[in-house]
Amino acid sequence: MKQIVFLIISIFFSVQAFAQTTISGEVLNEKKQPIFNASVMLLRVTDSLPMAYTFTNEKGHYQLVTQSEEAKLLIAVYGFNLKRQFKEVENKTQTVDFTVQEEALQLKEVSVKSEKIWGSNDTVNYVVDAFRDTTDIVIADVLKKMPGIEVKDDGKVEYKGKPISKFYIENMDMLQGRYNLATTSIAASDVASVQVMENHQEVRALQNIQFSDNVALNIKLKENAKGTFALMADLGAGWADSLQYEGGLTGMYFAKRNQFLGTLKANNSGTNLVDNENVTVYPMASMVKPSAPGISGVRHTLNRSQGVTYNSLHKLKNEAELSYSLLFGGDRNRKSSESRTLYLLPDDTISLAERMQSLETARMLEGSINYNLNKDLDYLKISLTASGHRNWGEGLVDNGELIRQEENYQSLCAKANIHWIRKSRRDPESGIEFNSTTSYGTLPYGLQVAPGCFPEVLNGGEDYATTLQNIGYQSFKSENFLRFLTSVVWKRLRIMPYFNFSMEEQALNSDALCVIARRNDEAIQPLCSDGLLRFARNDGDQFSNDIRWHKYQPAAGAYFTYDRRRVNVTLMVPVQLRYLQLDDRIGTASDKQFKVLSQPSLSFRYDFSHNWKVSTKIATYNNTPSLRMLYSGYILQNYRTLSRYDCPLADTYGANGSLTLSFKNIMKYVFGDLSVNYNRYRNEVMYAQSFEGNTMVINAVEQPSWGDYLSVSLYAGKGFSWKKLNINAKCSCGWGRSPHLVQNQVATYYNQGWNANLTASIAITDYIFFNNKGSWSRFTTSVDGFTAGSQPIVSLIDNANLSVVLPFGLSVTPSVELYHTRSEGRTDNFVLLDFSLGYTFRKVKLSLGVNNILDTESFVYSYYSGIYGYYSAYSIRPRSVMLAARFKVF
Amino acid sequence: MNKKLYFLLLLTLAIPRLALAQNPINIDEYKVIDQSRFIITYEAMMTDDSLKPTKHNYDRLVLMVGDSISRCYSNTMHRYDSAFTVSERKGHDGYKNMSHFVGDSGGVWVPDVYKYYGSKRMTIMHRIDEARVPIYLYDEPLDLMDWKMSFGTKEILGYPCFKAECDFRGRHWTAWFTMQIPVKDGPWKFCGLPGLILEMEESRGHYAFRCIGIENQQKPMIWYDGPRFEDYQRCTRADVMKQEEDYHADFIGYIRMVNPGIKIHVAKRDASGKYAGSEEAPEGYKKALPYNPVELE
Repeated sequence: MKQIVFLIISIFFSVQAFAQTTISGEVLNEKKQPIFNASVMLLRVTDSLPMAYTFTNEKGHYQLVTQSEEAKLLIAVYGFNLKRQFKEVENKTQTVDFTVQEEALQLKEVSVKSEKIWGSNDTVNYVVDAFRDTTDIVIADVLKKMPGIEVKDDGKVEYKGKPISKFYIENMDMLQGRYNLATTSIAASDVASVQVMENHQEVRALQNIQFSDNVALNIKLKENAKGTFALMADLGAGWADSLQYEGGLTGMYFAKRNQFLGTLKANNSGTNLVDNENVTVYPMASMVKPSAPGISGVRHTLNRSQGVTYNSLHKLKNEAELSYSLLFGGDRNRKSSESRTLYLLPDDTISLAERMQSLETARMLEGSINYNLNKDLDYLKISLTASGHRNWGEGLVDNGELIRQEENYQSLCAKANIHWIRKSRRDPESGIEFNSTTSYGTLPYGLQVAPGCFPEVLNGGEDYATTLQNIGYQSFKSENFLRFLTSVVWKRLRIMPYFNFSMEEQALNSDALCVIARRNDEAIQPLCSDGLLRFARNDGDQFSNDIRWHKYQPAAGAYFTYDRRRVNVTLMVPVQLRYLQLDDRIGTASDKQFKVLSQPSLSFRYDFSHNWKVSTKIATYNNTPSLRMLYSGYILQNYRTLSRYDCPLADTYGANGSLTLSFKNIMKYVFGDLSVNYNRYRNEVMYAQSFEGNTMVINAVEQPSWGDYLSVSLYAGKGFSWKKLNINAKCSCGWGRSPHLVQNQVATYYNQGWNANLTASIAITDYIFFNNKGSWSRFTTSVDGFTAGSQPIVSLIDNANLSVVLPFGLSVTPSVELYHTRSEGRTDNFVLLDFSLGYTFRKVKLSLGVNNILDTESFVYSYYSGIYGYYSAYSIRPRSVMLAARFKVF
Repeated sequence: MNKKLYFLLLLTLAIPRLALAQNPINIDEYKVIDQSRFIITYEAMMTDDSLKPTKHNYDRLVLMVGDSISRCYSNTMHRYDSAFTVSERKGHDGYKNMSHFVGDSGGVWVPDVYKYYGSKRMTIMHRIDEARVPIYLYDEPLDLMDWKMSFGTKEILGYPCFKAECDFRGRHWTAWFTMQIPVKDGPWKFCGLPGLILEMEESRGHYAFRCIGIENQQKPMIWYDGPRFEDYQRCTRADVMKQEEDYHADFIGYIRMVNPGIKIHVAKRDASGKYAGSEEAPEGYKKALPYNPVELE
């Protein structure tokens, strides 16, 4: 038996021995050098499946053993940086050598489906490509689709309903607030991610010392978009009621140490290239003119505009950023509307219907320079801005009588800021901070209204030709703040004493209100020599102002902060001395006031978890009216309002509190905020508004009063992976109580408003995208003790657009906007319909847009504010066709 | 430090799943040890509790392949370390809450594996939970797996793949590798096949690695030697396994053991099982965590 077993085993082994093939050899490169670690694989010839493998040793040798009974074998040799080689050989023990060529290995890439959003406690990163689709051109188009982020019609960006305070490109702030230049210029395809930083403290030396609840946004570019100069061109031409055009060149360069963005633009298609970003003085009077609705400017701005901007930033050797910008803009804007203003008086309602037209021209020139050194222990920011604006306007109002108005003014503003922090090298917890801001503004203003509208007050009851109002206004303001960082630290409680000195000087010179050429009386003495026939009134003092207003406010106090990872409490306790002086050189309103004040404030934040946060703020305040509400001689604010404020220096005391509960779950793309705000104030004076027909006269009288306001708002945003669905909802409601002195009666006005907004975007397929933006609002105003309550104003707006991407680079986007407004018992419904056809040919994006297809003539909107209600039908751009091209020049 | 731990433990007790590897390192100080040629991204699937075999957690693993070194690490862990570093840089004493980085998918792949092709060994950097214990380092040889070719093909991300199998430390694994990427590497400790491993599946479905991204990217590969460098402790795999076993068997006892004198507070529940504040854990208080390690032996 044993022998049989032995026999079987030996036969088995001998068969095995017979079937085993050993293939060995060496792998060398073309220089006959051995290749180490190359893979050698034995494959079955029939189906190329692997049977055995090995790797070459340091000498390039390999040995493979197989028991395969196939007649032929396939040997593959490959490796890092080797060109793969196959050899078919007989299935027998043999030596097979290889000479291989070296070749750089480049893998076929498979991009990781990135997580759309990721982040930590205070930072959220949005991966742009996850939100972008083919119809998006600039980064603003993609920002709109990111949960939590909203882009307003004016280009301002909000995160969870809160405007961002800083906009960085690659962590550098070149544009200093004018970031819509970037959001509308940087190509969406050039941006890798968008980073939102909550509780952003831009001053590194103040991190951990001063809590900030600001939100900043940072654009991170793709590698290939950095360090190259790009020039984009836009060109467009079309027809509305006249030839329409738009054109522009945008140059951009973003590198590690230098950034540049320059634009050269002109259009008459609705984009206004003049802004008032750095204007600090505003006219005290104005023409009555159509007020533009809060929709996209392209719809309603019938203008001609030109603009040039130059912005650049350089990083210096010490890592400081030096940036400067220069802007020039010009705009000529034609407006017309029909409006009704409703004064809700306690026992009556005055309704004023006006048909208005205006033509305004504006020019602006602005330059600014900024130096910013932002280090852990040192901070220095110096910024200087100067701007000049020149405005002319003429307007017509038809309220039964035809009224002509002309205005002409120019403002010059300059602002300087120095913010310096130095922390101790030995103890980085302590240091010193100095912040000083000084601004100056001057604004000469002239208004001319014909015919004269206040014969009773100004001309002894007789009609007259023209009212002329000249106002010269100057303002100087300086605020200086010195703080010692952490002089006392106990556990986590830090006490920081500070000193503040602010001063404000304002000067008002308003010309005697003149009457040119009485209609019925020629015997008046000419007064001035500038060629105009001007005539002084006998009681001229009542209609002139020459007033200086001074405010000096030294203060000292301390910040008490308690900061742990989850809790942050800041209490500010100041003691202020305030000296006010009103020097009325014509009237009798000269006055002085000296007061000791304290306006403490408290803020508190607690992070329950990284998802939930609660924060609250309580602050008290004390305001005194500025010179704008202290003049004693009449000023013609507009053709129907004469105002004077003859009263002693008075205060407004108030307190406000807010409570916010925030929620954020980045992984589930959910964002939410619930906030409640309450504000209560007490005034020492009231402003009496009295009506004489359609004209209103404002006088200030001493009578204490109080009012309050409560608002609740809820914001919620949710993104879904499914179909890139993104939903943002915002609801708010507010209740206000405000006292007004109208027609010699004190009446409390109750305002109530409700508002709900819902925006949604979805990619129905890879080629069909849908966006919808809906909003509903309801406002009411009623007057205490009187039944004459007003009708609610209800408006419902829905904007929807659909983008369909077709083959051959084509895309179509129809869009519809529905408006429904109900006010004063009448209902207005209208529809705005647009269509655009896009075509991408190589690198040129062409678009053919037809806007306002139904040729809707006017945009109707309505609201309540204070004691009046306003209804306006504003003329918008008629049906227009525009063919535009956008392309990269290089 | 005790206070911080107290705080974390409350969280830990509430949500044990999040208690993974909260032991960050500062990544500001490092040395560059190689340059990557390719970066491969895997999705790692894990099952913490073998009694709940359908409840999986996921993480992303990044495999950086250089000329002489490769490194495979957890993306979640890396982000966590980055946040910790930034937070330390700002002067906080470190960012402690890992849960912010762990998504719904909830997993963290702890071992950070450096493979040295030249010396044919790998170094594993292993971090045990938040207990402020040292970061353990141990070495293993590269040729750990005894691969068997099995006839099977499959296309993964456009790459034709062959099938191979192995038994490794108590689990049976199936690998899919491609000869078009001639790199003897793979996720975690897996390596040694004549091509990059794009997919690994464990036979019981407890663990899997699936390639989700391939990039030609040159990035520095780094070895951290920051302030916690002195915390690195050389040991053996057996030591680490023992620590993990002890930790999972009774993690409160373990934390008490490695942090003498620490006060541990645990959630108190009333008769109806509702949360009723916290109390100091009595002596001998035990709490086990489910334990289903990838290496059973």
